[in-house]
Amino acid sequence: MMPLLLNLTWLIPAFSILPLCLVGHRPRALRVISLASAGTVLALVVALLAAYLRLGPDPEFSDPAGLQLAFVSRFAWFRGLGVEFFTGVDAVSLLMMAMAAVVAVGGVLASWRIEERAREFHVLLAVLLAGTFGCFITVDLIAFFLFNEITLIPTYLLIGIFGSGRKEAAAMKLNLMLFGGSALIVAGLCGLGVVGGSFDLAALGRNEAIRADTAFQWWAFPCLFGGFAILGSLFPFHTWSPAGHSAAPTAISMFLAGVHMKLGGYGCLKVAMYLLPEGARTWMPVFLALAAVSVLYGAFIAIRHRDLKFLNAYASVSHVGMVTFAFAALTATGLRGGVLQMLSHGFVTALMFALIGAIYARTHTRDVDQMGGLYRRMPFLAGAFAVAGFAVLGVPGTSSFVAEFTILVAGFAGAGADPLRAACAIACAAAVVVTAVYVLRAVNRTVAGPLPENAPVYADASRAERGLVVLLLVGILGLGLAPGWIAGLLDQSLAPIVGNLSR
Amino acid sequence: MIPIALLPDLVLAGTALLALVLELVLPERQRFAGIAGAAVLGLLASLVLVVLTAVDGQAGAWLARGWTAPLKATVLVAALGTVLMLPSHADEGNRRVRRLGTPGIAVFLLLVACLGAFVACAATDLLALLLGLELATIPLYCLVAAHYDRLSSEAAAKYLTVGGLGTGFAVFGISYLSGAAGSLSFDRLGPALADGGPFAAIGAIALVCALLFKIAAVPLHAWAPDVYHGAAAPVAGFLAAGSKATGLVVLLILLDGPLAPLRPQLVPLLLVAALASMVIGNLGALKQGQMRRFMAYSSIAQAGFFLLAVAAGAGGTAAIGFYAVVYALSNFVAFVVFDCVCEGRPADLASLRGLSKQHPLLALCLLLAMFSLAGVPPLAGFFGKFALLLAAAQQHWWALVLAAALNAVVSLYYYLMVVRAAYIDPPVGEPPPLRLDRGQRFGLAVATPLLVVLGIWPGVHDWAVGLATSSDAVAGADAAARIEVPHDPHRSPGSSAPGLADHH
Repeated sequence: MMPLLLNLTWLIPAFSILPLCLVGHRPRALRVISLASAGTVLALVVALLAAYLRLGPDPEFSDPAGLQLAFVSRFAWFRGLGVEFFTGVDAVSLLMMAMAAVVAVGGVLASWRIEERAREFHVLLAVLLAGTFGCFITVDLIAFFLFNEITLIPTYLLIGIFGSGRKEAAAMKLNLMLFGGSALIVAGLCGLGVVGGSFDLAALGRNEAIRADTAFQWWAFPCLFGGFAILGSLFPFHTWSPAGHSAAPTAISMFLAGVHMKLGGYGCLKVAMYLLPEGARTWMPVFLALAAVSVLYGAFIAIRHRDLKFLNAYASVSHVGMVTFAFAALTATGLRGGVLQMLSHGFVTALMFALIGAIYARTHTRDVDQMGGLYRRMPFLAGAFAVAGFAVLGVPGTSSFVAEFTILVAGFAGAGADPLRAACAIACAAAVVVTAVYVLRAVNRTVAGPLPENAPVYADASRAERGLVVLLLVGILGLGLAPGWIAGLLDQSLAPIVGNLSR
Repeated sequence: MIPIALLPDLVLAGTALLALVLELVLPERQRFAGIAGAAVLGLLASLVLVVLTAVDGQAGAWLARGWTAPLKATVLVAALGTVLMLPSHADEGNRRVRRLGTPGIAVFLLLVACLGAFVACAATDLLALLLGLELATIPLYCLVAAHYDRLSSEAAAKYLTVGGLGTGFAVFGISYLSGAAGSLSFDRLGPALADGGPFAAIGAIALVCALLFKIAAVPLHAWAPDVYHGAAAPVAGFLAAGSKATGLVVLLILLDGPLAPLRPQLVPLLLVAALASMVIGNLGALKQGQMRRFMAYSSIAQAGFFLLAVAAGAGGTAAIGFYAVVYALSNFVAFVVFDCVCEGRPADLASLRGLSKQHPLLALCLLLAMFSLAGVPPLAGFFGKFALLLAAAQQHWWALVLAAALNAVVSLYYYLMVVRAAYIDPPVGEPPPLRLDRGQRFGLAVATPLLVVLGIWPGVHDWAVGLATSSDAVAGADAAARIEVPHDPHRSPGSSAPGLADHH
């Protein structure tokens, strides 16, 4: 029963394509179906999370040294290639899914106004959701990779058809760079399959052949970690993300920056670092330095941008760089901080993109310099924008504070003996200050101050927009005010990864 | 008694002759439909028989190799696609196929080419192999040339020249091999070539080069863009998938059997050819606006992917079989859509603009075909390409796996350009109406869902793997026996050239 419910999280979006195709060009019916599908998935994930809290991992997978999987089901699939359809989740996947489901519902609400080619939009969004949720629940690496790749088709078309600005070029850049990452990943996966003799993540994590083969780990780790880090927009492979996220329509920016990019961090953690700890120890200085550059570089570029979407996209590069920085600590605290940051940034950046989209729909500009005084015309949206800005900033009480504080603690923990680590930690701490510069300036200029001359009367938030803001704020504040129980859950699921890293 | 595994070949031969007879017998108005219908039924019957009779067995000089079934099926699928595309090329009076002559002769030539592939699949000595290979190529020269205009004449001349060169290489190689081994029969070649010296190696390389022509791989690839461009669309479609499958199956037979001792010399060359094909094909395709030339470069790049698995040996057989079927289906869908869109328009990518609005289903077919060719899931091309890569990875060729995967990224660029033209770019002017006839509709309705089904349902892949592994066991036992008694004349029941062997 529970494994079926788990699989429904991707099957529902996948099968929602049928009714979406059948209703024809009726935008209202289409978005209701889309919302129903995303809402059902959210309800399912919440139920699964509750069940996980009560039941814990399956008895078969409750050994604390192995992956703590729950709701496991496995079927033979492409037998000739050794590929199974093996699904199961631990706390990390479940929490990521919860975040993804919230962002998905928010995304549907944010695309309430789409009328032209609405059917294509909702069908492609459904494929994107199915691919993402499939990714989070699969334990077989090839199935995981397959779901990850499935998200490429809809991403290209959603940006290319419904985007704005240099959308064709941005969509192409995004797709090619992500596919390039996939090429690295698939080479690494082929290696894992041949050396380890299986694609089963749970079994590979305890595979002696891989553990012993340091030469293999030496080349496979940069392939896998680097491939997933491209998806996580690590400097210098980040260029696709500002281009793509700023060109995409609102809902897709939300989902891509909020959830899809996190598949990179998720893969880095659960595939590269879990399976190749020796490689991780060897290569981490490189990725640590790149992460610190991402964090600082993204923040500084964000200062220069006047376009709110670009600003938030570069802010995302900076904040997702924190995830890699956290992982590079290779400690329990670091991994926990990284996952917390992934969850937190998912909510925060989705809220930012949603509000930028909502403001743009009214002012028809995203240029900070041409806006001002929005608080006088649309108090709800402007207020929400200010709160979202504070969440980006990491004000105590928001999820970012919890995540970034944990990360900095982990980053400084080993910094005494290692000058590189110390320099990177200082850079990341400094980036928090830089963040304050661009966030406060953007919020100040748009929300406060006088209205531009001849500013028309804008309507405040619609019901759909209010719903989505509240939903995402619940996530941000929930994580920010009561992080304890989540941290406990995460530590239990991260234990096998930490165990492998510290062997 | 006729061995049951010979039935598909007989059905093919019968259908080929029937097409000629029908051309004489049928009244003019029904001729076209009658011949195309008979060809479709004959090819389907042969396809079913190929699947049902995929076992190992021997009848005289004729050896049934079970593992060749997926590649035989590919040839038939490609031919089916060609026949289904013929009616849309009928001229006004329904008497002739535009650019291809009378329907009976076109179908006859096509089926004979398939039969050639089947003969090569069952060969037990080099002469039979050459016979099959030529039988599979010569009808195609005629088909390419059949449209009497400048482009097609140029294409035919190029195809014939390079093809002639290929045949020359093959005959040259065979002469050296037989000279080195003292026999033409596979049974004796294998053991004798193990210490054959430089002549054996030169002969083997020449023979392999001849096959690179057939699959359009570097260095004998240059004919592909011009020939695809000049030939009629249905013929170009067959050249891409059918010819490639023929060349691949012969390569596999040779490398698995008589040339197995020379693998150490051949594998590096195959890998160089594979990598060069991928790179040259991909770079060539990047800037192609003309659809047929574009597909030609894409086909060269795909040949590189196939060669990677050919070089990987027995582990790659099933992967090649599966991906060949997938490639034939994807290619067919792409060719039908291109063919339909180009009716009354220049054959440029720009003609695809606005297709998603004009005909959403056709655009969807094209989208799926392109993503399948690029190897993006959930389409069949994903597991196809992954299987090829895994075969190479099993040989620990890590750098090559990575290079191939990165090449797939380059290929994604140009496949996405097609998708972009169909879905994103705004249309230019009022496009002429699209017409899809029954054959094209039927073909798309079967092939397009299969692109998704084969990517999710492992049945066909399992079938290919099952055939390859069961044949491996048989071939392995054979090889062991052969090496023990290399010169026992009673152990070559399959030798069809005893006279030649007896001279030594």
